[in-house]
Parts: sequence; C-alpha cells; structure tokens
Amino acid sequence: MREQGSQAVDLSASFYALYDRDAAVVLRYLRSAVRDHALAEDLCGDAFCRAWDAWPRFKGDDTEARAWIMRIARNLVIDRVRRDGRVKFEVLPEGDTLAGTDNTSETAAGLDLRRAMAGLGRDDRDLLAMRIAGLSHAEIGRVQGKSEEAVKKAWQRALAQLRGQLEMDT
Amino acid sequence: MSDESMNDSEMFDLEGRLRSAETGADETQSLSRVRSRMSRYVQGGAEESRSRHFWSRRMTAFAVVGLPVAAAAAIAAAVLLGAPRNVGQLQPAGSPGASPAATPAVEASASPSASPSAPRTALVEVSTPANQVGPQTVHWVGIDGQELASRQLPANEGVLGSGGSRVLVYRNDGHVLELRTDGSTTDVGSGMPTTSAPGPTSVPVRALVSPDGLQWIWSTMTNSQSSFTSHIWLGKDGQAPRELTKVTEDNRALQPYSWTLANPLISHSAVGVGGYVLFNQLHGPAYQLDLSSGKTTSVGPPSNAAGGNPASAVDLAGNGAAAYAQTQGSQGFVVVNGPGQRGLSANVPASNQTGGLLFDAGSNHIVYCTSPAAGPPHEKFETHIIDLNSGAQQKFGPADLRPAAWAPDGRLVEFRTASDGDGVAGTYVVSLDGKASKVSGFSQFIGFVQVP
Repeated sequence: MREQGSQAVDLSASFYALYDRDAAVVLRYLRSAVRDHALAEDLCGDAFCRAWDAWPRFKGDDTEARAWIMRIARNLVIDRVRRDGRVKFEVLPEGDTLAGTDNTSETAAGLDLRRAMAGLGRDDRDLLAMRIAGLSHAEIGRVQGKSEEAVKKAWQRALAQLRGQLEMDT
Repeated sequence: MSDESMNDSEMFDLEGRLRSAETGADETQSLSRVRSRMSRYVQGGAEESRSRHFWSRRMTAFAVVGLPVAAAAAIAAAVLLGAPRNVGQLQPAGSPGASPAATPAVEASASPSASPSAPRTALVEVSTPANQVGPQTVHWVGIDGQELASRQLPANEGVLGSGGSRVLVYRNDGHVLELRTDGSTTDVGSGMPTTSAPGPTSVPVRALVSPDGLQWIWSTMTNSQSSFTSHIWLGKDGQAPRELTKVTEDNRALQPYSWTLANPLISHSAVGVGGYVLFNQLHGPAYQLDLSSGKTTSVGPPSNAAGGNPASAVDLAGNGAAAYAQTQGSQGFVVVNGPGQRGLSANVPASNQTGGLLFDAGSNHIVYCTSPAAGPPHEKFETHIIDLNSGAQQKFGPADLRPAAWAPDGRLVEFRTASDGDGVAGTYVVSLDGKASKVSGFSQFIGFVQVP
C-alpha cells in the first residue's frame, strides 16, 4: 500500500510539473486557435484532465510530454471546430493590449492582425497559433508529425498569407 | 503573395507583432482557474468535470431570470453546497499595531463580479512598530488598496510566506501554522529549526513557501572550520521534513532563492557575504531543484561565461525561458534565452547593484531593477522592462521602486522603503503602461493569497 501511495504521489508531482511547465503554452495556443478565452480555458482544462487519465501510461521525456499535451489540445480544437462548424472571431476587448503612448494605433494594428489571422485557412492558423504559444518549428513538427524543415516552409507560407491578408484589408 | 518576398527578419517581425496582438493580459487568472479544476480532477476523479458543468448550468439558469449575478451566485452556492454561503466574514482592518495603511476597510458586499468560484487576490504584507521593535502584524490588502484584514502575531511567531489560499507563520518551537483572516490558526507542520533568541521572532533560516501555499522549503547549515554542510528541507502538511539535497563544501552553502513555478530555485552561495545588499542577490551559482527527485539543474550563465562571474539574479519563465543578470567589467547585462523567446542580451544602465529580475506570467516581459545612485539613507532605484517579443527595453513605472512580484492581474508589485527615494514607504502596483497605484504604506510585501 505504501508503495502504491508513493507512486501516486510521484505521478501527481510529475503531472503538476508538466502542468506548470506547459499549461501557459497550451492555453496560449488554445486562445489563439479558438479565439474565445472562456472556451480556451475550458479546453485547456479538458486537455489536462484527459492527460491526467493517460499519464500513468505516458513514457516520454519532457520534450515528448509537451508535444503530447499539445496534440491532446489540438485534437480537442479539431473536434470543437468539426462540431461547431467554424471558430468565431473574437472582438478585442478594451485594454487587451499593452498600452503605450500611442495606444489607439497599437490597438488598431492588433485588431488588423487578428482579423488577418482569422482570415487564414485552418492549417495556417493552427500553425501560427502554435508559434504564438511559443513552440519552435521542431516542437511543432513533433505535434504535427512533420519534419522541422516542412514546418518551417509551412510557417513561411502562412506568414506570407497573413501579410497578404493584411494588405488586402488595407 | 509568395513566401520568397519576405526575408527571415520580416517574418520574425510580423510574427512578433502577431504574438503581441494575440496575447491577452489576464492569462494568469485563467491558468489559476484551470489549475484549480485540474487539481480537483486529479484528487477527486472525473466527478469534478460533471459538477463543474452542473454549476455552469445552474448559474445560467439563475442569471436568465433576472437576478443580480451575486445573488444568483449565493443561491446557486446554497443549492450546490447545501448551506447558505457566508460573505463579509473578513476581519476589519485597524487592529493594534497597524497601520500606515491602505484604504479603510469597507464591509464586504456583493459586487457584480462576485462569484463563489472567483476568490479575490490579496497582497500579504507585514508591518512592525515604528521603532522596528515589537511583534509583526500581518495585513491582507486587496490589490485595489483596500485592507481586508490584519492580525498581530504573538511575539514568538513570524511570517513564513504565503501562497494559494494560505498565509503560513513560523513559531519559534519549529512549528508552521496556517493563519486565517479571522485570526484562527491550524498547526500544519513541524521540524523547522527552533530559536530562543530574545525579542520578537523572525524565521531563523532562509525559507520560502510554494506558490500554491501547500509546501515550504528551508535551509540549514553546520560547519567545521571552513567546511560547511548545508541542507535544503521540504515541509508539507502533517508530514515530517524531507531532506531534498545536501552539499558539503568550503565556504559555500545552499539556500532557497525564489519560488514562482512548480520547483523552486536555490543558490549555492558564498558564506558570510554581507554588507549593503539591496536585492535578493546570488553570491554563487543558482539551480532549479526538482522536488520529486531532489535533482538540481543549473540556471544562469555557463561557468566559463563573462570571466566566470556568477549571476547576481536569475529567473525562469513559465514557458521555460531563463534569464540572468551579470556584470562583466563595469558593464552589466541581462541575458534571456529559451523556448518561445528571442535570445537577447540587453545592456543594463550604470548601476551599483542589479536585481529584481522577474518574468511575467505570460513570459512576454521581464523586469529588472538598478541602483544608479548609492545610499543610504536615500537609495535611488530604476525599474526597467524588456518586451521579450520585440526586445525593446525602457524604464518602467515611477522612480525609486523595487520589483517584488507580478500580480495575477498582470501588474507588477513594487515597493519603496523609508530609506529609498523620497523616504515615503509604500507598496505599489504598476500596470504595463507604467501607471502606478499605491496599495499600502507598508513596503514589506510577503506574497499573494486568495481570499474568499
């Protein structure tokens, strides 16, 4: 019994370590991917609850763990998009940006970028959402099952698309 | 539009702007809520998930019939918990020994944002009598400057730290107590060093409380001439102290350094360094200590960098990025490296000492503090902020404040002692646009705590 208790403590400790290391990345990805902060929070909770269920069977290192939890989160997004048809564009709340001396133009520029992002295809948006969350090209490759080089090329294309969207908007 | 028309620099610039536009300021509170939900799930199984959705539906049902949200919350709480929820139980401010404080307390009342699932964040601060001789008084101060409660400690107790929903107090027999706003306490642990030093008690060793308030670490040290054996210990509710790591070395000892993530940072500092120290400074290498395994991972500059000088300050971001402040010759600099961050090295303005290096919760900014003019009695300070997405750095907030911690709402808590600047002590919160609000006149910030 003591052995089981010790294993349970170790399991939860290592899982909390995963959470503390990667939750911000997962949440940031979800916010950017679904464009709804409340939904992103729900999905983030769902992702970690699902991850906890499978944690005793997970055998990877920290790098693999991040890719694993990101895959869980990404699958939840895909499920949600399939169910709801499309993700919605979120209106930028006041005070959501870093306020500077030229707050108005910063906010407007931020809105333009977010609109342009919303106009991208799902794969491009998904890739950029992972970049915004802080994942490297190699890490995204692990999540998507692609090579780092392939991800980098896709990233270049997505940014070019984004700039094209911005130019069309203006 | 083809991808050949953009070079790498343009792409990183566009991505950086997009990241700035997409990143919200209230990430910390979301993460806190997600963590709470996950903790309940981990501890109680899948039942949590169902009850949470049940709660949401109840709240919706009450909201749509036109009740004020707070009233709906109270009724829903009664439905869920089977008993009416008491609000407004906090001890009013103004106990003996207080206070250069804060806005007078007002009776806790239902507000449009009040919700049983949204506890309020308070700053925990400490004051002592004006002559610095006498027992400590603990203050719970809302981030809006409203003092929510205060409690004077017995002479044999001193504040250990705060985190989660708990304020922990050290008692001089080595016990750790949880102190609540109504003054009640629960003995949650023992085994810390005892002290019989005369006068009001302070914690006799370097100690830190975890961000969730459920664990605490401290260091002990014994020596034989110049050989020091130092230990880091872990305390948890109702458990005997567990030794996490131990080192025997000439003139160096392990000490807790900071604790903002799951695992704390410790230092392996030179023993006996004293004098005029303005910040929580390192005097040797720093490590992140894995609480499960006791393993240490180096944080800070490689040993062969900048002539082998140790960092004066280090910090780790939630996304794994690492930062350190270091001096080479007469030039100080801050270096940031890690996932999701542009590797950067920022020159630090001329300074006597540099510290207060703190990543924000979103890993988007880092602050540090310099002391451009020496005291005492009136030390000068400048806080600087680096936008980690653009690499831009600038002075931040009012002069002569030192950073203490990032608040969950994305503002920076800073303090000024009576020996700094204009000599008017206080604790402030500074928003990202540099605007500052004075929260209290205490200037001894301990940490945050969630109050109902």
